[in-house]
Amino acid sequence: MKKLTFLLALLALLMMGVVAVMAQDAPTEEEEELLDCPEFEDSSADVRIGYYMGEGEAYENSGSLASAIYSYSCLIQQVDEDYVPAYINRALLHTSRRSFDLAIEDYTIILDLEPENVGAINNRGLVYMARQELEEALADFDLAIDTDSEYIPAYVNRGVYYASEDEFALALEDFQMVIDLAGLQDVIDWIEAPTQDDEGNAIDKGERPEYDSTYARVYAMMGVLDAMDALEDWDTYFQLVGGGDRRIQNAAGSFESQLQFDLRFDDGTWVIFDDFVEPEPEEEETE
Amino acid sequence: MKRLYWIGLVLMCLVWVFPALAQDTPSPEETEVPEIEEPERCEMGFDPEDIDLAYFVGIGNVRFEQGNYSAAINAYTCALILDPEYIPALNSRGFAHYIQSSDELALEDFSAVLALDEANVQAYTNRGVLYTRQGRFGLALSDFDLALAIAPDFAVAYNNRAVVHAIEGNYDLALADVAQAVSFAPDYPQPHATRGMIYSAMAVESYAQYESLSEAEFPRLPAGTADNVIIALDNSLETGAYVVWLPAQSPAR
Repeated sequence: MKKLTFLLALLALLMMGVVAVMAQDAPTEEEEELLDCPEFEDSSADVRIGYYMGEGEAYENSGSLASAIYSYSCLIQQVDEDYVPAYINRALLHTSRRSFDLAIEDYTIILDLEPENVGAINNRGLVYMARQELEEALADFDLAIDTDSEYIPAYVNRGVYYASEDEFALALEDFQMVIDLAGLQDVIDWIEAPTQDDEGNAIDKGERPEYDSTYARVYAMMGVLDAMDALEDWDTYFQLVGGGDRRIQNAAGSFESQLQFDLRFDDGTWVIFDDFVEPEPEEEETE
Repeated sequence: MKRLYWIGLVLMCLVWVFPALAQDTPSPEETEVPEIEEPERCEMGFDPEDIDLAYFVGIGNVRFEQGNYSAAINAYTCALILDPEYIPALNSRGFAHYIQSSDELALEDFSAVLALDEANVQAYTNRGVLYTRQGRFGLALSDFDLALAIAPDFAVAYNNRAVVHAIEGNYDLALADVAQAVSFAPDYPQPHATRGMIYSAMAVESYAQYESLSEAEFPRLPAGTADNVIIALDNSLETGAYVVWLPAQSPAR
């Protein structure tokens, strides 16, 4: 009996040993390749961060995206695994290269490090949208707006999402928010304000209000929604008259073709990625 | 003529070597930090206080690697506007000036580094390379000697000094330096090429000697010119066919 116990114990020990050795030998998916990053090797982390950010940006600007990704990966792997700007740049590059899984991975790390980074939330939503994971996309746009109710790109993108899902009323609500938050109505008022009074005297309109013309696209999209409404009305008209006026038939045919091919909401052209570039502060006047 | 050809090749070798060196050079002479001229635009995705000046060296090195030397110089200069004594940018810019054959500007930068840090191995090494190209072999040797006095295991300086010795026909010294370079950095490829060039130069000299001694009485080697013999030897090493060696033996009479 003792001998049997001893043999069983020995067998168990051997098995544990084998399992341990196998665990050491078998490469796990998480083991990542050690990159070759020799620049400024003996310098401080700050110096190396500076170097690899510069190197990455220069590669990126020259179109060498894979090299740029390598530079940012060097920084993350060997200098500072919590350095958010490197993840941001790498995520944007992964997105450009349509490596959506990797982009989502990077944005998720950014959000672990900075949960209120609305740009990252917004961009992750767009990557989900590109992958046709629409629920996740909508959840991220909602989260971005919950995190910062004045963050305009998320309203644009959520509006695009709603429009592509035929939720036109919700889309219009979001587009209206964009108009309000971006101050577009003030600009339109300024543009349309008369420059002369009834007697021909010049009116001082003052300076044009500052605005970001990127957001003017919501008017274009509202126009597309209006065109969809028009098409619906014309369809009703055709049903009622069975054929109808040739002019309307031509207009409807043209609209339908445009809406099906050139003016789709789901082709990725209307959305706004956050490029994380801070607008330049206005220069203070010095006396 | 043949010798001139080989000297040309050795000089080209220097140009290959240079990229490996560039990053730290000084000369403790009467040098001042050169005045910085404002380049195009120093665009930076960050507040300069938030990121190290190495950022511009990173940009410059990529532009350099891509052969855009003027843009590289601009990037290094951006760093120097913020800190005129920033040694990595001075060294790298000097190197870019060297590539553009702007010898005076290169010399200014290397010497500026050495004024700031008289033990900067990279600046001595790079200035030595510059002196070599200018044919100022004594100055070049002195710079490589200084570099090796500071960093006795710096393979790049051994390799570069070997090249100068080879240009001067001192093949024994050249081979000794190459051997040192290889022993300190077995994976550094350049010394192997340099050694090949030294042996080739010695081969050319030996053939010239053979021709001058043999005059018309002796036949030329079957493989023909020195170049052809080297090619035949290369084939022989690859295939194991040793016929190319046979005419090198002499019968006893």
